Amino acid sequence: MVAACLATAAGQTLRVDFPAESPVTVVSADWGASEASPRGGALVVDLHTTLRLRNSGAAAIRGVTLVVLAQEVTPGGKASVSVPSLNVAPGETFPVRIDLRLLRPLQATAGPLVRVELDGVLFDDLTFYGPDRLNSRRTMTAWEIEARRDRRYFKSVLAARGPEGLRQEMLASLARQADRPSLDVQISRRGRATALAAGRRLEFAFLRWPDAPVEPLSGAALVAPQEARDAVLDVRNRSGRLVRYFEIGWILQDRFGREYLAGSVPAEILLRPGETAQVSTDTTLRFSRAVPVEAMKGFVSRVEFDNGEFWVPSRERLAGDRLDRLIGPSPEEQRLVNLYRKKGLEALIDELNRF
Amino acid sequence: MSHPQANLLALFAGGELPWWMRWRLRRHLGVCQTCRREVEGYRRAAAWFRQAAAELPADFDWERAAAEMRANIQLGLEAGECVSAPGRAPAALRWRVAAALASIAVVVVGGWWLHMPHPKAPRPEAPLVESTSDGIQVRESEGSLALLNPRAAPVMVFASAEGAMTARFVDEETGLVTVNNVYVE
Repeated sequence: MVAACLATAAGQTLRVDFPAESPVTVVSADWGASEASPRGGALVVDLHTTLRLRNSGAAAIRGVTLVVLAQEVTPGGKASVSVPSLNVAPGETFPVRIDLRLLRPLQATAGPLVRVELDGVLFDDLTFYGPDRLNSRRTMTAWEIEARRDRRYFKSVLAARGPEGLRQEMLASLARQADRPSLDVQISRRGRATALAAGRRLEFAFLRWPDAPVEPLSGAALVAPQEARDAVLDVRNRSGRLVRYFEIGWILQDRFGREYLAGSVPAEILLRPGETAQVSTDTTLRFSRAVPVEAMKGFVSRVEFDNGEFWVPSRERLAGDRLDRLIGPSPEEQRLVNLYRKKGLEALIDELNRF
Repeated sequence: MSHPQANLLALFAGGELPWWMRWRLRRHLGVCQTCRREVEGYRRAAAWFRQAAAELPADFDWERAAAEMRANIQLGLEAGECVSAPGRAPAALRWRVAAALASIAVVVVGGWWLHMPHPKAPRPEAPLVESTSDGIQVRESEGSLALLNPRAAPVMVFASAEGAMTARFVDEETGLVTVNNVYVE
């Protein structure tokens, strides 16, 4: 392993470990304003670093995911930082910024407090390198498929409606992002020692898309003013292909008609053509405020086939059912809109023409 | 730096502002830690009150509770008149009245206390993930690990029922999309 062990201002350590044969290598690390300060009986450690990585491989990189581990502090949890929508040619470098805060007991621990490891790198031919402990291959591949879908769409807008049409699309996307309803959520596994409010069982209404390989048949969850839990979904694989993963988007509607994306229900399950299955969650979604839930909607947001290919909803489907304002833009749309906002229409058109 | 009025921050915390005002306030909150803390405080207080209300027994009889309170107040007033009349009651009687009042007070306060919904602070025995005004974090009994949001850029947060939380934003310096995740195992 190639290791870079870096000291923070508080004398604690952060260790960056990449495999020796990794197609990305650490060039440098900038530590900015990292610091540690006592708070009551605990120590708050703020770590701010920008790792500069080099593409040492032979293919262009589309995305990278780093795992962030603090085993002494949170043995039951972990974190990761991903950078999708990259276009890094061999030999080029790119930054990955990590801003983290640790709250830990004052007692000193031996060894590195935080370890940063490589979970995976996605290349432009959709090949992947890395241990993939966080399923980052799946996530980054889906982002890349969405990125291609969105670039194709914006290019078609440019071709059909010209620069002014593209500008309108960017402004509409900015408006959707500003208007996206948000709901702060806390997630815990079942069995956690918290008071569960008495819930009522509510059925899902599904958005049925004929081109979706997986069809939701029925489903329900327990909802209370401040939480939703125990979602159970029945689905059928109506495609002619073996499905190994899918996600259902979960929308809550309150009594005033306001809708929120509560979360997604992922399922890693082998579904043969025509087969039905039931999936359930063992987590509780606890909201930061009471939401008088009157109805729930579900929609298929992602399907992975056995050969690693993906299905994602088209932009037309998302816009037609007004889901685009709820689920937000793809990472690539977010990047392109930001490019337009910062550098203008010409820069955006140049960027689209690079692909 | 000028700060928004407190009532606007409270309305923002409750999601009650129209979108353009929400957008303006969100921009301010992106750069003002003081106001972010204020909003977080409003949210916590509102959450506590809602939780308290939600945890009242389903069959709680408000009419009866009001009637009991009126009766207790009336009884207290009448008892007060008894003890406040100077020189009319012997000392033993005054002590008996005082003891009765004390008993009533114990019953009333005890009943109120038992019916009062007490906030149950989550005991993080098992890890959980959550979004806060600072970012997303995984929290356990001994500590927490948070990935922080940028101060200036808008952040989109997503939850997954498999026990993961995602915060996505565009880094203002590099123009690159960054996706932070925290997971609970």
